[in-house]
Amino acid sequence: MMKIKNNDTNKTYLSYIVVPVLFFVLYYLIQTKTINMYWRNIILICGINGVVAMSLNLINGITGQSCLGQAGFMSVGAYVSAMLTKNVFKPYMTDTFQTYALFVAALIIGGLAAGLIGFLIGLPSLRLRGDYLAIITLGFGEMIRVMWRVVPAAGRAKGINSIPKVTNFVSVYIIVFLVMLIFRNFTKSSYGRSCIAVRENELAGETMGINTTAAKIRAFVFAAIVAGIGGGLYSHLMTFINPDTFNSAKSTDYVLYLYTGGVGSFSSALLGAIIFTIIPEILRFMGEWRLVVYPLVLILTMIYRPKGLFGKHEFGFMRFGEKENEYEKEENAGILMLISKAVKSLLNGKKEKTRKEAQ
Amino acid sequence: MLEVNHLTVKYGAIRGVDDISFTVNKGEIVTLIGANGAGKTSTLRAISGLNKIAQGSSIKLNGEEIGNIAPHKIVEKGICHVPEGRRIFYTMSVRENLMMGNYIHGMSDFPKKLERVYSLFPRLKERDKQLGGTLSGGEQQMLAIARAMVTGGDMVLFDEPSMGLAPLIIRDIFSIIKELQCEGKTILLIEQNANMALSIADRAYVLENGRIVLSGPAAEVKADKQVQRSYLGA
Repeated sequence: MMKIKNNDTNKTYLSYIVVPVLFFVLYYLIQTKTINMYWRNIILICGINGVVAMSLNLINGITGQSCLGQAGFMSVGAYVSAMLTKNVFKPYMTDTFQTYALFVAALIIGGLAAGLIGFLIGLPSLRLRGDYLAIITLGFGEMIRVMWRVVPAAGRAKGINSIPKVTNFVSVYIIVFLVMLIFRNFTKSSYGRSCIAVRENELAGETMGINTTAAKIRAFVFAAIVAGIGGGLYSHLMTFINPDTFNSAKSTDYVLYLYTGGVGSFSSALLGAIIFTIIPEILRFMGEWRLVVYPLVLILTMIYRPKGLFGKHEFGFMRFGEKENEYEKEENAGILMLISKAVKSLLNGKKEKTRKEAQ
Repeated sequence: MLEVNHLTVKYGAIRGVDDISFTVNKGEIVTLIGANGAGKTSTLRAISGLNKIAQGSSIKLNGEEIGNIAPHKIVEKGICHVPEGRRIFYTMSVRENLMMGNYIHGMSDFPKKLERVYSLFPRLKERDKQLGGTLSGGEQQMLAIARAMVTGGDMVLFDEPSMGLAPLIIRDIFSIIKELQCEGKTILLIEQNANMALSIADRAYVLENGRIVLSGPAAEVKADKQVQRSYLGA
């Protein structure tokens, strides 16, 4: 669907500048070792988690289905691409160019394999919705995990080790950016609109000539492909994977990143993944207590920000630079609006106090 | 234009609609009236493909059987359904809602359609950017109708457009339905508000427990003693 031009809103290009600036700043800091290897890896994991959380947002946030098996899709991408690079591509990975060309090829093939699995899981989603679908996807996710335990080529329970370590900051950053770009365009396209129609009101969508079944399957396949690519990045960062890396707790993690960030928005999913990947690391100084404090942070987030930390607010970049109008702002409830509201109420409170004192 | 023969809709063992037959001719407003649970909505949903029809049922649009094809294909054949309870997209703006209505046509003719719809519903134009969920009930119903007009199609099915609305707004909405008829659309209308429906309809069918108990020109149905007692409160 083409975009109708709104001439009355002037565009914001802030985030178009932020993307390259952030890249060069982080790149410089990593190159000069200001950010050590430990934090570099955390940044990369943030990015990878962000990719998978964004893919989950396509199913849970945009299409309104519930999927609890994202780690399953991720594992397909991780295993397939790792098997490819380790067993097939390794002899050809001689210079930088070839290494990354083959790495990208492996990522894409891994993603497509995950997409195929996504298609298989998408099929039952024709009939089921809500909790039932969640249980099916949970089951499928576990099934995939157990499948790796019995496939000899995947190393059974031992997993795959000494995968070439080719994931680096540049590749993660570019893929995060590309994934956002693709999701942005997808959401604005007629495919994305049909997914949103399914979320908002499936029946109304049908009465408008939208093939809701196709929309749901499309969302599942597409999300699985992206999650598979995220998995590929993960395996080539860790250089070691085994089936238990992708258990249902990992799926739950992605659901958590998405809902604490703000379901329905790709930017919030990314930010949620980043923040809630970093928090456990920051809390490391408290030892075992971290496992108490971290869930507490989550609980408090859900109590005080049920829409997620950032709500449905999208980066300007994800809105094609268009400004949100006041109604959308209210609905999206970004954190900035929350802060401005809090400041306002604080000021009003002060005024009332002084008024009362005057009386 | 629309020909329904021996239509039966089953909910498990229950027959929500039990072997009914009726026709809607081109350019007519036909209304189905009846109490709650008489099978009105089931009939409408069956026509637009949302409900499965039982064997032996037949729904023909311009002579073509449409009984067993998917809802989105029926829309492409030119039947547009304004569902019960408005069913607008709450977190989309008014304009986006209308854009969704144009889904099957692409975007090329949208600005023209938008202009036309906005001239019919100036209230919606004022609320162009407002989210659907923040509109009042009447505005939501207008949006639902406007959206159906954008979707187009020669035949429009209305499912209780007056539900939960103030009398003044109901009058507006019925005058728009009448206007649609003047534009050459064929309308099948379902109503609880039998008085209003019979006053604009050409012909009427009265449903009771999934069966048609009375049919004829709207004026005759309106004059029927039984109908007056049951539905018109006379």
